[in-house]
Formats: sequence, structure tokens, C-alpha cells
Amino acid sequence: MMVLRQARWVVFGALLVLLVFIAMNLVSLRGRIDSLDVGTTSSPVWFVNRIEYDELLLERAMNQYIAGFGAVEAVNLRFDLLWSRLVSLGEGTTAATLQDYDVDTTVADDLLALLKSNEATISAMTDENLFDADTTRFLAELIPYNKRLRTFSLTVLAASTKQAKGWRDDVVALSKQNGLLLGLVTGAFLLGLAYLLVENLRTTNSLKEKENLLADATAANIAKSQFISVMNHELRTPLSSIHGAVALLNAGIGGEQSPKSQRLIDIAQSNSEQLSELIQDLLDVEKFSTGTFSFDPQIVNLADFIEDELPAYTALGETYDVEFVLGNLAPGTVCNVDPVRLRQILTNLVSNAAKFSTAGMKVNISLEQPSDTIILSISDTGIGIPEDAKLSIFDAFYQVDSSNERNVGGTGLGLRIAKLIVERMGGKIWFDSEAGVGTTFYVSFPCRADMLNDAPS
Amino acid sequence: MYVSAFTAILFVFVPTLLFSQTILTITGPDQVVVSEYSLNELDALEQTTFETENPYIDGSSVFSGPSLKLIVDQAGYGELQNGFVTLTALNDYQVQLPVADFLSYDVILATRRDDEEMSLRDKGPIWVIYPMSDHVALQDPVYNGRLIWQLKQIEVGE
Repeated sequence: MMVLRQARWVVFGALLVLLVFIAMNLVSLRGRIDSLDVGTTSSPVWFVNRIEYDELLLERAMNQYIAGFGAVEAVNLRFDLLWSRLVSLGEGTTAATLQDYDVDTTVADDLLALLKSNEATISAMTDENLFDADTTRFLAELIPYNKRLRTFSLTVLAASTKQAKGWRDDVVALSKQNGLLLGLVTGAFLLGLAYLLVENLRTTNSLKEKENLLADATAANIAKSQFISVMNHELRTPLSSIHGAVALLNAGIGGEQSPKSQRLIDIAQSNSEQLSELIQDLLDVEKFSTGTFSFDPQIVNLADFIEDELPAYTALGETYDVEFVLGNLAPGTVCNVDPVRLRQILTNLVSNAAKFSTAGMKVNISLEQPSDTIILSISDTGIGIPEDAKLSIFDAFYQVDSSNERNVGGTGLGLRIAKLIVERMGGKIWFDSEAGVGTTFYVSFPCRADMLNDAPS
Repeated sequence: MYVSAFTAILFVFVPTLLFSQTILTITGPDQVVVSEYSLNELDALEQTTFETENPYIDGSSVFSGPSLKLIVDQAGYGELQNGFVTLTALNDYQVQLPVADFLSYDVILATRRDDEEMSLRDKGPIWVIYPMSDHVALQDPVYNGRLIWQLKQIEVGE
């Protein structure tokens, strides 16, 4: 079908060329048919025949004059008419056609010369002078032209017939050619029609296919939303109970545990926390896709905010044996942001930094405000992001393959959620990373004085 | 003395005689003569002049003479809208000329070619001329046969 579509213009072009050919052929045909019409008064055959006829009429007029019952005016008239006819033979298209026929016109030239040399003979003729010697001599000279003109007539007719035969052959050839061209045009037309029909059918099918796909996609979307809803209520509620119960056990409500039991309880608590995080992350991504992710911006002093958050990461630092260090925090920077969402971003980046840091190293958190933009950076000294992962790191469920390193865990949604939140805040997230040296994540978002006025006090 | 006097008389009267003799006859149906024209009389009518080519001459020439329409009007057939007029030459060659031709185009009875009178030997004294160079439609071969020369008679009406 693609081939047909591409060939469409070629077919149209070919059709156009064929039509031009046919038109040209028809014009040519018309010309040939006109040329066949030898009976027209501009044809040399007509002229030469008329000369032959006019010569006979002059002979007759002269004979009648000599016999005494013809008027001298009649001889004069015939003389002049023959003269004019002979002159016409050398002019216009008649002369050109005779030249084209390549026939010998000496007889016409000779006859005109004879008329010219006998102009005086004709002027001298009077009704009384019937037996003038010059008149009879002129008549005697004139008579042989009768036969010569007959031969001339036949020669011209033969030449004309020969040319006409050539033209007739051309006409037949052109007719055949036109028939063939007409067949080709008809074929191309039918092909074009078939193409249009098939194309039309294909469009209808394609439309139906798209409608089906849309229906499927809508159904799938509804199913997904239903699944998320189930997960939210049917999975999170029992998990909260498990989490609470394990926390109580860990707090010693069941009395002192044997070291073995205590280790099992720790594993249960750690895994139930991880599961809760996963469910929360999935719900967040879903909220972003349905546009129901809520923001509640407030006036926040960023330096104070980060300093206040730091103690929350103590346990994380101990787990991965890293130390969190605050760099330049641009003291006094006040912004209109949602603290809950900002905490989500910070926690994601800080926990990633901790997970991928080499044990015993430091994670540096700093804050800068060049102009109206806040830039938050978190640097670690760790394994870095492999080249092949750099493009996909912000994709959902993407996890750096760390099979040759320690298992870092996580849902693969943290950076995705961070990116969604930052972009929603009108900001950007990016990173610098070198394998074996470390990674720095940057988050920038607008923070202008006029934005503070929009915030609820 | 007599001879020179006779010659003088001949020189004065013969041209006048030639100019005043009838060269064109207009007839109605059944050869009833409606009007006759000498060259002088044709010259006295309103003249139409144009330059044109035709298949019987080399290059182009300026032709002038009264229009065929004017002659037909003067014969009292001005109302004629269709049909034919029959034109006859001195050698009795005849052609049927559609009325539509001279209603649509300036068909003239040319008496001058390049300001010169036309002798009998040069297709005169009257040559029917169409303005072929001004109208592409008139270059169709069908019009060639209507350029009748040495015209002597026009028959108007059915």
C-alpha cells in the first residue's frame, strides 16, 4: 500500500504526459487530414488543372475569332485569365508546395513567357483583321502546350498523391498510437480508482482499530485506578497494623526478647517500613498521573528547615556509616514552598546519597541563591552513576544495577517522584556524576520576593 | 494630324470609359439585376482598409475597398442574418459565402492592393479579401476558397 501511495504522483504525472501526447497527436491528425484535402482551391493540383483548362479556353476563343464568330474581347479575357493563373502559380503556398513536390515547372514558365512575348499580338487583334499571320502563329505555338500541360497536371497529381499516401500512412500510425495511449490512460485511471477504493477501506479499518485501542486503553486505565484504590485501602490498612504491632514488640511490650527473636523483629520492622514506603511512592506517582497530587505552599526559612530535618537522617547515617555535613546554607533565605513536598525531595536525595556512599565518607548538603532561584545540592563520595544509567535514572522503577556492590534496596520511584515534584514547582533536577568519585544532585526552583505575597500568612 | 487628334481623344476618353464601365453586378434570386457598379462607383463608397497575409500572396499586403456588407445592404438585403451569397468570377468560378462571414468579419471587395489598382492579370479588378492576419479563426483552410478573385457578380438571397 505504501508503494501505491508513493507511486501516486508518478501515476498522475504519467497520466498528464499521456494526455498531452494524445492532444498533440490529435492536432497532428487534424493537420494531416487537412493536408489530404487536395481539392481545396489553394492546392497546386487545382491550380495546374485550371491552367490546363484556361489554356484550352484561350485556344477555343482564338479559334472562334479566326473562324470569324468570336469577339476579340473574349480572346483578351481568356488571355488575361490564363496570365493571372500562371502568375499565381509562382506565389504564396502554391509556389511553396510545388517546390516541396520537387516537380519541373518549366512548362508554366515557358507558357507565361509565350504570353508575354505575344502581348502585342493580342493588342493588335481587331474584329476586321481576322487572318492576321501573327494570330495564327501564336495559336500554332500555343497548341503544343495543351499536351505539355496535361503531362504537367499528371506529374503534380502524382506528387500530391505520393505525399497524400505518406500522410495517410501517418494518420493510420497516429490512430493506432492514440488507441494504445487511450488504453494506457484507461488502465491508469482504473488503477487510480482501485487505489482510492483500497485507501478508503484502509482508512475505515484504521479508524476502527484506533477506536478499539482507545477503548482498551480506557479500560486499562480504569483497571489501574481500581487496583491503586484496592492497594491503598486493602493493603495499607493491614500493613499499618503489622507495622504498629512490630513497633510495640520492638518497644518491649512483649517483655525482653531473646537476641534471635529481637533480630527477627528488627527484620520485620525494617521490611514493613520499606513496604509502606513503596505503597506511598506508588500512590504518589498515581496521584501525579491523575493530577490529584496536592500542594500546600507556605513561607519557609530554608536554612532552618534543613537544619531541623538533619536529625531525622541520623538513623540512616548510622545504617550506611556516612556523616551528613551542612555546607553553605544561605541563611535567611525565605521561600514560598510546600514543606511536605520539599521534605520528600530532600529525603529521597539524602537517602540515595547515603546508600551509594562509600562507608565512612561524608554527604554534603548545601543551599545557594543566585538571583531568584534556589539551588539545593547534595553530594556524595560514592560509586557514581554508570554511563548507561545516566539517561534513565529519572524513569519510574529504574534502579542502577548494583549487583557487584552492596544491595541498596529502594523502590525505583524516589528520583521519579522527586523530578515530578520539582517540575511541578517550576524547577529542575539534574546531576554531575563520575564513576568511583561521587555524585552531586542539584535541585533548583524559583524563589522570588513577589511569590511571598501570594502565600497564605 | 488626324492621327494625333484621334490619339488625344483616346487618351482622354478610354480611361474614363474603363472606370465607368460596369465591373460588378448584384442580382437577387433568379438572376434579377438589383444594382451595378463601376470602379468609380465602388471607389465612391466608404472604404475599408487593412493589411493581411493570405495563401495566394508572398508576405502581406494592404488591401482596400468597400465592405461586402455595405454592398449587400445597398442591394436592400440588410436584414439578411443567415444563409449564403453566391459569388461568381470572370472565369465563372463560383463560391457560396456564408452571410455570417461578413457579419462577423470585415470581408471586403478589394479594388486596391498596396494602393495600386489590380489588373485582370493580377487577380483584379475585384478580389474578395478576409482580414486573415487579424483573426486566427480565419486561418482555417476552409476560408482559402472564399478569397475569390476577378469577381464579377454577387447573387443575394435564396
